[in-house]
Amino acid sequence: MPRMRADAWREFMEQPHSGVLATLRQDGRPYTIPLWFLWDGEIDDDAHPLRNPPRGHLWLTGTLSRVWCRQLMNDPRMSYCIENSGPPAQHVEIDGTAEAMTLPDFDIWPISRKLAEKYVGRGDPANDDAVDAFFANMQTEPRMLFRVTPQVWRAIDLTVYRGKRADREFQAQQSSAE
Amino acid sequence: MYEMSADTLRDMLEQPTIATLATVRRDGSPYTIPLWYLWEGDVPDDVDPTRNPPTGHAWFLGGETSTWVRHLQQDPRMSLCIDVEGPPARHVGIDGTVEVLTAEDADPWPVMRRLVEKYVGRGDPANEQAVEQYMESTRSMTPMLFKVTPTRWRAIDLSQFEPGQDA
Repeated sequence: MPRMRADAWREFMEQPHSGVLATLRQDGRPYTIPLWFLWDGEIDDDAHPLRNPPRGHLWLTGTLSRVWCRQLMNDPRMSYCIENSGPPAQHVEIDGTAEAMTLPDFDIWPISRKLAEKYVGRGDPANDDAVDAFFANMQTEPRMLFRVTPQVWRAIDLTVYRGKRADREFQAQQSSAE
Repeated sequence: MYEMSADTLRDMLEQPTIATLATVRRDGSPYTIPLWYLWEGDVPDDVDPTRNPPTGHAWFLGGETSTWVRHLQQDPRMSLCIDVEGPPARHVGIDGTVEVLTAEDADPWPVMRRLVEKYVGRGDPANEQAVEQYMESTRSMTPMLFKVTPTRWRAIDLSQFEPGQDA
């Protein structure tokens, strides 16, 4: 499969895509829910999902009562799929474990604020009031954060498919066979 | 909370939205991948995800080299999430089990055509040639057919709510 280049990968992790989280029920059945994410880490120029994966954490915002939050506190194993319908189609998946970060031991608000800025603000100052209102509402809820430590990455970029060596070799074979 | 109307749910299941499939690995940990899917069934007018869920099956296709296919051959439990970022933000979750059908069990090609018509054709006659080209490109494949029997539904419509809440 065509891999994502580092610059596209960094850009992808900054965009306000809505990803889908998969958690496990107590009996081990998977459960899925769309969620916001914040990536805080580094992606090297020669990043590779297996040989040189990004370093850092994924942050997810939840509340103490949500089904998926209770599931993660019961079993921290999760997978998160970020998909850009495209065109061009790109997707990144992160399998890992999620650690619950709660008040008062951990100040959840700076990262919660960044999440609101990313998804409500969307880089447009016209949304500043909406960000403030959203963040104020978050503070009325029993909010918490999950800090995800990635263990396995997948990063697929179908825009670079034409450049892939296997594809070029296949095309060369086809043209020599004609 | 924020329940989805029957009409909205029917529309959600028809739109060419790329779904996220969650499977479980041999060690029980979850795995996710984006996927084309097809819904074939009925959504009752008074649909309720718990008390009166849709009846029918979701379908998808895969090749035996795919990681998620091996997972489903090993453990048929899965969850499918259909997420429209909006606004308005809406999502449908289907938890269920999958029956893996080989070409001897069922012909995968009618499902392949309906999938390609849904995702490549997108209801626009201008895409007819692209549909045929795509079908042609699949001819060397040996697709396996996956039939999902839903056991749990979630259908959340945040159109009357602030977008992005993790309802």
